Amino acid sequence: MFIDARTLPQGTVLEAAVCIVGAGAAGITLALSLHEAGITTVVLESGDLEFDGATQDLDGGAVVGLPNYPLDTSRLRYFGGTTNHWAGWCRPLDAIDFEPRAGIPLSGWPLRRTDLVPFYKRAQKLCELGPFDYDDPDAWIRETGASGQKFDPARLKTAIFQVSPPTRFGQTYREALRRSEAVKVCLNANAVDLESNANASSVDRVKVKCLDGPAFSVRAGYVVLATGGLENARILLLADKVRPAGLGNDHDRVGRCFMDHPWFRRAAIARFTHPDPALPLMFDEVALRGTTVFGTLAAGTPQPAGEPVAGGFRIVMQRLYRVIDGIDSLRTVTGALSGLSVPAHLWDHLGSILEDRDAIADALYRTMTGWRTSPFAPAMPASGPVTGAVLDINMEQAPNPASRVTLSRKRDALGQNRLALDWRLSDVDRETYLRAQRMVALEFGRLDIGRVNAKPLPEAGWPSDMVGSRHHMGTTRMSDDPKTGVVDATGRVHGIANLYVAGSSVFPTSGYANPTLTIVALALRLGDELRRLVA
Amino acid sequence: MRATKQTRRRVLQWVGAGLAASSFGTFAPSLLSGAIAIGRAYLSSPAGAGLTLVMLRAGIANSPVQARDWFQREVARNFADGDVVMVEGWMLARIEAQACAMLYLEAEA
Repeated sequence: MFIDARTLPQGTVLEAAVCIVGAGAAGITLALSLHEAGITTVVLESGDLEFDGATQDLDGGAVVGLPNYPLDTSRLRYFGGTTNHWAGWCRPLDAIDFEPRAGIPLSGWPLRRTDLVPFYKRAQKLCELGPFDYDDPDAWIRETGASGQKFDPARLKTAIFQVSPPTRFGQTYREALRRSEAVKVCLNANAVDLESNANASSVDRVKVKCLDGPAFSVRAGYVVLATGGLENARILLLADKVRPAGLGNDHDRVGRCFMDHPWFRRAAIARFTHPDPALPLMFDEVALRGTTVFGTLAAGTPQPAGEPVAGGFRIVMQRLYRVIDGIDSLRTVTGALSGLSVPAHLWDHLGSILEDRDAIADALYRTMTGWRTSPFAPAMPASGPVTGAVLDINMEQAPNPASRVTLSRKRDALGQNRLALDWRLSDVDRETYLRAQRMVALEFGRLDIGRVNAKPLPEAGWPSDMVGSRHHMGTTRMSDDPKTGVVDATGRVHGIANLYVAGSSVFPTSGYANPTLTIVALALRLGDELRRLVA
Repeated sequence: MRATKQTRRRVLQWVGAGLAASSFGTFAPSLLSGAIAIGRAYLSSPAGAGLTLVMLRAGIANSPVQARDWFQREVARNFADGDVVMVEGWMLARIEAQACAMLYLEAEA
């Protein structure tokens, strides 16, 4: 059932076996699981059933490190959470993502991919996807009637993604929770503190405030934080009455190792040797087996011997129907003139520059302004032979304790400290970027698909047009060792008997796959654990 | 001197055949100017600075067809071995860059 928390009497104490804080992909998945088992549950959702600006403002915070999306626009604070605006791309993490990797500090999960596969299969259904079949891309490709490229598996592979409708968890599963007798969803209910016992070994109650309404609390046998990759850390840090550094933070781990998937637009251009090379699924989403799939290029495994240590990546390609020679010609001419010489075949180059003047103006305008669009956008043909491709790199970020969220001095409308996000990348990430470019260049060359022109990294720092992917991960990372993680392999906060965390904040490493399917799989796994404990 | 000139002509013959079969034709408004530009850039780069025209010693094919096939095999082998160079952003097989350097030197001669 649903309850508008603003209607509760001041000081109300709700009781349940489990209290879930947050109703996004993780929280709703968990609530459904507990509903099936008839376990009394209170779900605390900060927002209502629809978007509300005042509530959304509670997500506001500062971005003090590398540029990233504003914190109050990269997630949503109402029933359904960020699934209310997700794109629906789904893929499990690769087996290598769970393994400790030499040269990548803090890599490795305390569980294996095979441990998660049964839950991934169940997650497929909740995300309204097709069969759990991601490890045989050739089978999908054959169904398109095409044949794929035989990439060197250590260098490159085709990674299959399935596309959720996308499932809006807040809409799709609203009715099931509305009818539930075991689960009470409290809307407009903001968890503001976790009150623990004297030695912080268990959480006694969750304190709750409404923006325009009463304060109340929830007593539960088990408490699960499921408020997303940033807020989970924030709630732990704010719970500082018994432990001044916050709950679960005895080893200064909460908030650290924040990860996103850095996205580099136009990180390379490929020019194909022959038009229309066989790259099935790379450019279009295709309906197959009752679902929608597409492919990207992705990191091969194991990493080739002798290559610098790097993380995983995927390369998203967009077609080019026209090769823009004018930009190359302009570079050739200006390079020669700056050296006080006249380039060979000057007239050819000038003709090429003239022909591509729209593309050149477009590139110059975007370079000078830093904007993604310009009034000079060339009228690129939208059909015809595909002569090349624009390659975006979207990649894993290695765990980095210096990349973190902290509490800032600014406070929100509830008096809670806002977050400050200090996103930082490391040298491993530079190698990942370079590896992605190099692997695609080597394989496109070896298979005579084409040649690749790679955008270099700046000597220091990162390209100004690098963006994140709004995938907030790692701030309450999972580890068997309390010194390197906040939660254990089940999601329980180290040292606290009844406090759990669900969501991407527990990811020790991020892989290159979109996180939602793994978030749902982990929530299902935690649901089974809580069902066992409560029973 | 005459022997050198003949060798150079034969080299250019097969380089041209090889490049025509590669993707270089799409790199710039004309095959030759694009390859020459790449060659000049390669020679001025650290990777190409010590180039001693190894191709002259690599065995000259008797016909453009043989040369083209040999060139394509070498290109594929370079990519398979990871033996690539970066010239003005392009990741090229070393043999491709060397071929371009040859063309540039010939054009300058």
